[in-house]
Amino acid sequence: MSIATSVNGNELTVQVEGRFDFSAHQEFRDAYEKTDDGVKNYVIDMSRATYLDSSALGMLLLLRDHAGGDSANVRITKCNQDVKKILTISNFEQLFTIE
Amino acid sequence: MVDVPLNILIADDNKSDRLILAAIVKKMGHKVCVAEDGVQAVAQYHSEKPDIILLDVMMPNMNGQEAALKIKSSAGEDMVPIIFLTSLQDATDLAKCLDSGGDDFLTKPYNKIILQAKINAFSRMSKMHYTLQQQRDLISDHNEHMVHEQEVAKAVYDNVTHAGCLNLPNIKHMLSPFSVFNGDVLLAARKPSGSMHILLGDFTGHGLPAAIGAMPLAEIFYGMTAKGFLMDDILREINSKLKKILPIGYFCCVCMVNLSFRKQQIEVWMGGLPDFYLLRHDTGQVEKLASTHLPLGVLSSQGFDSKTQRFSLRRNDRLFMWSDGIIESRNDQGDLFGETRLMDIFNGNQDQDHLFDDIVNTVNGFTGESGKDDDTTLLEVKMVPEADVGEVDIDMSRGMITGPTDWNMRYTLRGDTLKTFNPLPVMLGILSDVPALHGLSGQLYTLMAELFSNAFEHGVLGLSSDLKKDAKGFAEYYAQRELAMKSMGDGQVMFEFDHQPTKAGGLLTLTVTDSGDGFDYVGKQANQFSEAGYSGRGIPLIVSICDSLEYLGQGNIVKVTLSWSAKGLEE
Amino acid sequence: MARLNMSQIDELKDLMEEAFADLVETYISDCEEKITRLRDAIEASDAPLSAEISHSLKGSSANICAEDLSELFKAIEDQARQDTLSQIPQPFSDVQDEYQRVKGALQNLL
Repeated sequence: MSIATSVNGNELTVQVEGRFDFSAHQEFRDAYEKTDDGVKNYVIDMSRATYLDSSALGMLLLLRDHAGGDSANVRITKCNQDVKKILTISNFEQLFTIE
Repeated sequence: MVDVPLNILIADDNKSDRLILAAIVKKMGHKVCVAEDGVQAVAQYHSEKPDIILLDVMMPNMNGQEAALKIKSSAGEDMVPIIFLTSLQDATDLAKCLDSGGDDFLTKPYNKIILQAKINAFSRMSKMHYTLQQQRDLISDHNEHMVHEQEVAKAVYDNVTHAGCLNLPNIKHMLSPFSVFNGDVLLAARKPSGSMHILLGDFTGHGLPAAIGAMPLAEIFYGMTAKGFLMDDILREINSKLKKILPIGYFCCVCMVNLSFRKQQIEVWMGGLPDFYLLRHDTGQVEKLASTHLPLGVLSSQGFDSKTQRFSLRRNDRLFMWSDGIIESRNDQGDLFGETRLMDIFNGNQDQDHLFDDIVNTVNGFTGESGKDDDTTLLEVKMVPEADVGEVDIDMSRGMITGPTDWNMRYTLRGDTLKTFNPLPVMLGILSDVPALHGLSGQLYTLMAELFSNAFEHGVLGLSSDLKKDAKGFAEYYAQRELAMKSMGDGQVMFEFDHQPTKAGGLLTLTVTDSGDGFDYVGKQANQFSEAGYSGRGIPLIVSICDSLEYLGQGNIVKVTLSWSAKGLEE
Repeated sequence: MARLNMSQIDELKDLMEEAFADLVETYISDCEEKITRLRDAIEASDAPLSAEISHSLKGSSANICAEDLSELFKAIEDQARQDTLSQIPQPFSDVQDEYQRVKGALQNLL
């Protein structure tokens, strides 16, 4: 499991690789907390994530809170089927833009 | 001189050598005890408890290697450094010394500086070892203490969360916690009306943090269910409580079911749990129920959506519910159990009575020795006649003191309040002040619920009861209900309660008046409101509870009476 | 031959202080008893006993700074361990003579 970040203008992309679970907790948090204040849009790139568990859902909620709660702009992109399924079961499309 | 003097045992058969060693050690500020052979060395070890032992190899009676073996074996995990005194030069002899438990060598002639350095080094090592042991023991004590506390807390927890009716014959369940506490919650309780509420929850994480959230959840669930609150109110209350107490990122995936034995129907709210299976008894077909909401504890009260799905159930239809621990359990190779394997069990099943055990056995067989990495919970609920699950247990211990018997009350609900507020718990609370009526609260609840929904749905909203004849119409009915609620303008439902004492006990008269258009009831006696013409109004049910039922006005007023006798209740 | 290593013996005196005399007397009485037993053991061709006694004498002599005497006992121990007592390089009287010189030197220090 590893996390990579890149900033493009006011958009921060966080790419998650491997199993997205509690072990990613600190690294994922650092990824968005250590970026500049200029960031307005967040993209979570799941193209390389193989799996996601409930603590990862919790981490996404934390990010959403950090990004402004109800006014946050967080997109979750390129999910594989397993990841998509878990997001759907939890109805996270109500809170995030899932592409 | 040293900070803390050590106790050092010198074992050497040669007296002059002993004198020199003792002089060096005493000069360093340590205490000395001596032994002249191996046997004495072992005895001195037990009586003097030396910190370090200087042990000659060649000694009469018992040589140094034998003595070292004995000392090391009785020292156990305590550290007793042994420095062999030797002029041996042969490598195999030196190796033998190490094998017997020696930690170092000192060769003759003794060098004061080297001996000091060695004693200091071992003293530091012993101190470190001792600290390590202390800390380890402390951690172990703490851990033991914590496990004990957890066990006590678990007893409290179990009392709170398992107070329900999971032992009823129509329920099979399995809870297998990953740690002492369970992140999964399984609750079931009868409502005053005789129906049943079931809740399966899966908190983020396992153990204590997860279990803490389960306590208020269970309290709310049991407390509100017993008072007759509806699923909608209970879920809202739990959601707002969890939102308030759980840190962001922690939540509870929940499925709550309201199972009505009389209406043969379930109402389901699902947020964040994997699909549940509804197994039809007659056809063996499986219908999947999918989560339509966010988990509880995520949204604020304003954003919370309590919309439910309804399903008609026939006798022996079964609902299977589980936490994600079932589907996500893994085998030795790390493969997930997955939905396909679960579905295969259903497809291959020959006897629905064994399906539950089949699932448990298959999942256990799959995970095998690899153990679990999540809490796993499995529940089967079967639709049965209400008689199979017995009466709702009402607390009659309060005795038959008279209480308020001569009173009248009017309670009118209007506009939005009528749409959103459930008045039944409040009204049941007031009626329950009459001790005899408290014992009838299940029947009273049912009575008021039927009358209220008739007045609201057929009266104020003007919905036709004909629709509810079959499953399709049933869905249509609720769709129309949604629409009618949105477009509803003014409207009201008025309850008038009148309670009078009688010789035998008391008489309750309840009149419900709605603002609707009424219906043509003229010429029909109570026992003629058959299911055929007025299906869905639950009239046979009402009649079975009360003494009389009468429509008045344009059919928008209904009056029922219910008498009770102190004698009858005492029996 | 140097009887005693003089720089070491000074250190030993410093270390032992007033117990030095006691040490010397202990060493001498121990040696005399053991040298007699060693001679008997060699005469009786008892290799294991010869090895044990000469080993002890080698060690205590080294500790009392009598390096040459310690070497002589070591030579006896080496032969005894190989069970070749007949091949001891010096005659036993050499050992006894050296011991007498060490004894004299030690007693001079008191």
